Amino acid sequence: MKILEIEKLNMTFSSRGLNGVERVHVLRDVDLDIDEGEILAIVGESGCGKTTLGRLITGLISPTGGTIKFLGKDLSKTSNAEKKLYRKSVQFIQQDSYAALNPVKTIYQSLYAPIKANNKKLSREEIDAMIGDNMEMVGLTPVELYLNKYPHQLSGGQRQRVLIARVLSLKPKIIVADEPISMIDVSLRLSILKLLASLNQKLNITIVYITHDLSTVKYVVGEGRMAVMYLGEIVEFGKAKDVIVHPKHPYTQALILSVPIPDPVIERSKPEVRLKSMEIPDIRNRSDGCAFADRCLYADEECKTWKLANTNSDEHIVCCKNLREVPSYDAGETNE
Amino acid sequence: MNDILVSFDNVTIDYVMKKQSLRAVRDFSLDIEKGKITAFVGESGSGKTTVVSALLQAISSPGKLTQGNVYFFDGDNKIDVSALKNEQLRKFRWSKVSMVFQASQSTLNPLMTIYDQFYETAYYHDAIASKEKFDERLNYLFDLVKLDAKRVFKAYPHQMSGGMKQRVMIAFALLLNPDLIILDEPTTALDVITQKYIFNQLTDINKNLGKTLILLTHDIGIVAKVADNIAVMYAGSVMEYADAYTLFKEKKHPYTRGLIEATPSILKSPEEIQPIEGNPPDIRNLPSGCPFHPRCKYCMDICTEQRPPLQKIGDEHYISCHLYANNTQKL
Repeated sequence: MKILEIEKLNMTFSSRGLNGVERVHVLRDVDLDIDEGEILAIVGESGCGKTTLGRLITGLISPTGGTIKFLGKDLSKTSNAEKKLYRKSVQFIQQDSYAALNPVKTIYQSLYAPIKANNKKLSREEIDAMIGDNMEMVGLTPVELYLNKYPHQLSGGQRQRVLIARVLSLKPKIIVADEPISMIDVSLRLSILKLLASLNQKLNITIVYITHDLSTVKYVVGEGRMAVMYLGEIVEFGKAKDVIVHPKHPYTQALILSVPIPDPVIERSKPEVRLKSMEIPDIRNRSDGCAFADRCLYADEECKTWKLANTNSDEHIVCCKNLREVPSYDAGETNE
Repeated sequence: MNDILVSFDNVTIDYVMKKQSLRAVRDFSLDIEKGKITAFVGESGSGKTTVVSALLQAISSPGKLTQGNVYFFDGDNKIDVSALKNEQLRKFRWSKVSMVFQASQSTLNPLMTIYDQFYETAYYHDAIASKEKFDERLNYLFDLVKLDAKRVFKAYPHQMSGGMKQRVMIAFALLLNPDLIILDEPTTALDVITQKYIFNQLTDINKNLGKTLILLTHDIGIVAKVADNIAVMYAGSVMEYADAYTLFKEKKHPYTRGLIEATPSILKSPEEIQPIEGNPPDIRNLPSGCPFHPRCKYCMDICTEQRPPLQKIGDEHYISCHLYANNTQKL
């Protein structure tokens, strides 16, 4: 069952500057379906619109065009009660765990408030039991050790776990995790990713994992799917395993080639990344057609006006007009 | 062994404070080979930035070099960096050793054009013969890092992207033609394609100009790409030192092994990845014996009591671990 249907989603930010109102068209015609209980990764470089998409999904901002349907209902047409349920069901985990917690409140206070606000009838004992369960779920045990601490007394990994426990207390259907590990030490990153994957398995929560770090995607999504974004568009979409090992879009190929592999023998024998320009162009100067046309070696004049009709399907989708001319690329078989 | 450019001799650095003092770097001894890229790998708090700042006499306050020396070999001339004073030190910095700092995006002066900043630095180091020569040098440097000199000359820092600023800083580090450039996490805030591009330029600078580079990073993937030699650091000490191929192939030290096995890779299946158990060390309260022993799978009784010395176990392969105590010669 589709839990979220995103259709032709557009987002334009306006700001008033010296030269009048300036508009930046950040997301352009994004189509995306998310199944209930799946783990989906959204991957892209800075400025590609992945966080904007995450904020739209969680309802923190409203789109300037297109629709988001949650369990079949168009969000822009829902009643207030339905909207409240949606807000509760879709939760966001931010990148900076320190900024996301109130520094003058203890962990217990931070975990207590959202439960109380949403379940006014619960007694203190019941809430305490829920907090305990959630803390155990995210691996913060013994619970008593953490409850009376302040955010600065915990490590980055522990704070990220607190955020996950706080999110769980609302019994969400979808968790959007925006770069949850980018500020955590390498040796601790993996355990957070495994925790996210285990929540999906144990509680059947749909997880949207937003990241710029391609090498971590597989550890979260497993058999799930991933979308690669570039300058506000989805350029490639498919099973994460296929996209990572056999990327088809010229941009995805460049991206995957650039990810360092922790083995000097393999890393130093990789081919060079070939692009017309290494700089990501300003999103305001994006061509009307393929957003990648300006940097792509295989692009021709038509690419700059070419428009992909629909990227919405279950298979491996690649938004490229000249796909036949792009040589295939094999990132190497995984040892499985 | 090849020529040595820098020698850290038993360096210990303490942060001395009223109530307690922290030992950020402990008995650190290492020789840096000339013309090579040496990487210091370690997690945050491992002391990598602190130890190299001793090389510029720039340890951030209240840190102090409490023991040992740092030597820089300028031809036949052996310079004791820790003994340099005022004018000597000012001349040494940047013209012998320069540094690209972490988050160097914010090390550029926001109120000056790039050209003026370069000019100022060269001027105070008496490095300007004539304006034509200087402009020529700048054009050469910007060409080297593939920046459009005409555009960048007049630009203020806010007019450039993160990747461009990072390349400006690399050109800046080359300005006075130093022998050694220290790069502290040079690509942390940058995207992967830009990161790959910058490292290609750095390897070119190393190969074609013969510059020695010291790379400080936590990212073992980058190290696999560019480093000739690798020093793995933990809690202010070297755990293992070897050339890149040997280190990745043999990964003898349990921490090195853990670090490599914990690093996600697009080629490894999820089962092949194992996090290192436990938490990073608290340098205010280091465990006795080997600092890694609380997280080590192979921990023995001796590990909790004695700190293992750094010893030689192969050709230019050093390790600090009791597991290899018997079959090897002492350093």
